[in-house]
Amino acid sequence: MNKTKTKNGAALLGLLLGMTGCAGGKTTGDAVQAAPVSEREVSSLFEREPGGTLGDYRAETQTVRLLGVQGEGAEAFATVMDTVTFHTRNIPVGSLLGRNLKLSGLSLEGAEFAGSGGELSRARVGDPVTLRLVRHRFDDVRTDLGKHRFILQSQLLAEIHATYGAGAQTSRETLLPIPALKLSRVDPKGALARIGFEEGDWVFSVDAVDVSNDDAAGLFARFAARTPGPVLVTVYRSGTSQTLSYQLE
Amino acid sequence: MASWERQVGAVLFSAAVLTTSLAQSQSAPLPTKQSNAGDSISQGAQANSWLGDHPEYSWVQGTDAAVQSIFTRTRVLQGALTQEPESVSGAELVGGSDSFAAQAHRICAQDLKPDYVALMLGGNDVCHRASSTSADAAANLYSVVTWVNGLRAGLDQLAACLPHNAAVQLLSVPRVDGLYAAGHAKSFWCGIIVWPAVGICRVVTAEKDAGRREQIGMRINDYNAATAVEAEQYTTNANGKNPSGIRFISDWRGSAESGAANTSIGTYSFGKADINGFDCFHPSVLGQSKIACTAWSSHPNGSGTAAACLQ
Repeated sequence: MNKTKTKNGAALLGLLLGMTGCAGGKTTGDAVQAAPVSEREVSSLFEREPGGTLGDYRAETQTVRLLGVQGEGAEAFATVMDTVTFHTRNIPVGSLLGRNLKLSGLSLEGAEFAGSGGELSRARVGDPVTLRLVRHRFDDVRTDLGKHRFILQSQLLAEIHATYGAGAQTSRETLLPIPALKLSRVDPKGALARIGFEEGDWVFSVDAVDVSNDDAAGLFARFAARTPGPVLVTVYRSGTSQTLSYQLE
Repeated sequence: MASWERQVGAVLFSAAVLTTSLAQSQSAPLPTKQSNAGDSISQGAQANSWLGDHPEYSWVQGTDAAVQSIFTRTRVLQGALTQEPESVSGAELVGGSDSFAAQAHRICAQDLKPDYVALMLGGNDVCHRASSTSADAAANLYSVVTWVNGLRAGLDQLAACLPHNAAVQLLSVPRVDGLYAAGHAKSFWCGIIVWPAVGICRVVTAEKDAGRREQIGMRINDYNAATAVEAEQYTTNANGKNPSGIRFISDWRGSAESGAANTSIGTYSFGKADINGFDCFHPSVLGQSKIACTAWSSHPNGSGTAAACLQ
């Protein structure tokens, strides 16, 4: 794999808070700890939300493990596992962890992160590492419980929609030969992306109601118009049919 | 298949399982509860050519007589057997919120811990990756280091939480590159209409170059070989992570290219009748039954040979 780096030459600082032992790969049981962030830190974040206040942001410490790195050049990515939830993400070079860390380079030995304050830190493949991640409250709109189960925060969803809209291009198509709403483009900041819809999804129904004649706004309205409670979505994604179970709060 | 045929078949099958498994069942303790970590194959997705999960046709958790799943076969020997599956359609071994580590975490959270766990994950680790633009078609697939670290993240948990008499069976990943040939053998329309329409596993179904598809298959061989090594490390406690003595069993006996064709699920070349007619990719009911038969041949209470199952 070619090494890909930014030219950020800043000194190593405290983003990499510590290398901790993780016997047997078992979760260390580290709880996510939230802390306030300074105005100066918010102003330098890689990604901010328009408007809002300092209180919309918070910092968390999270222990992750770098499972490995792969890919070449612009296609290189790191694979990082949360040691508490075991959820695992693939992070392409240049992508963010939280809003303050950017994966800036990869080598066979590990990954390099650039902080929004100019700091540079490294993680070795296989090792757990504790990171300080800055989040916005919009980032809490959806909690992934696994097994296609999610919790959605209705109020946050409404605020996101007011800021970015539904954010998808749709068309009515048939999937051999089932009618579906095909999402051909999904804005990652839009409300539908925050619900968890992905580019290429074929959405069949929401609570057993055919949505093939909806558009993006119509699909979003099926969530926005709901009182707190369960919502079931059937979707065809990445070669499998999935029933997504949402709990609106 | 008519219901009477299923009933007769089930009775004959049960007698055969009882007879041929008696010796093994006497040496290996019979499980009382099974669980599994898996993906859409373990969920029986599209097995009957209808879209969606059909767990009754699953090789591991199925209840339909046409499949003769691991659950069905074990229940012949142990009538009190229960199951609590954790497989999820779309799951990868390494990535996502339903990774092997996440599924193992859920298995360990079950009130009554299983004493048999089956693992078959990995197809989506390949199929979810983007095609590589480099000369190496496998460049965008998880490295073997990543694979092993993801595997260990799950095995570590199972080794720590399962009862000491438990067995964990690690089934090899089917060669998704071989399904290209199976689809083309099944119907002209699979490659022209179905695969582009349903967008399934485009890293191989959209790859016209046989050599590049083989590069992807070779990486799957690497995953399977690495899994077999890990099974040995855990079973012997050479890595110090399995003091309870839980058995970790791999079905991998080497690659087809090294002369071990049809000795494991990962070395079987699926035929046109082994894949369903909806997406020309997932195993049909017949394909599921072959996987079940093959898995049973390396199951601690099982019998038979993979070669006989995969004829």
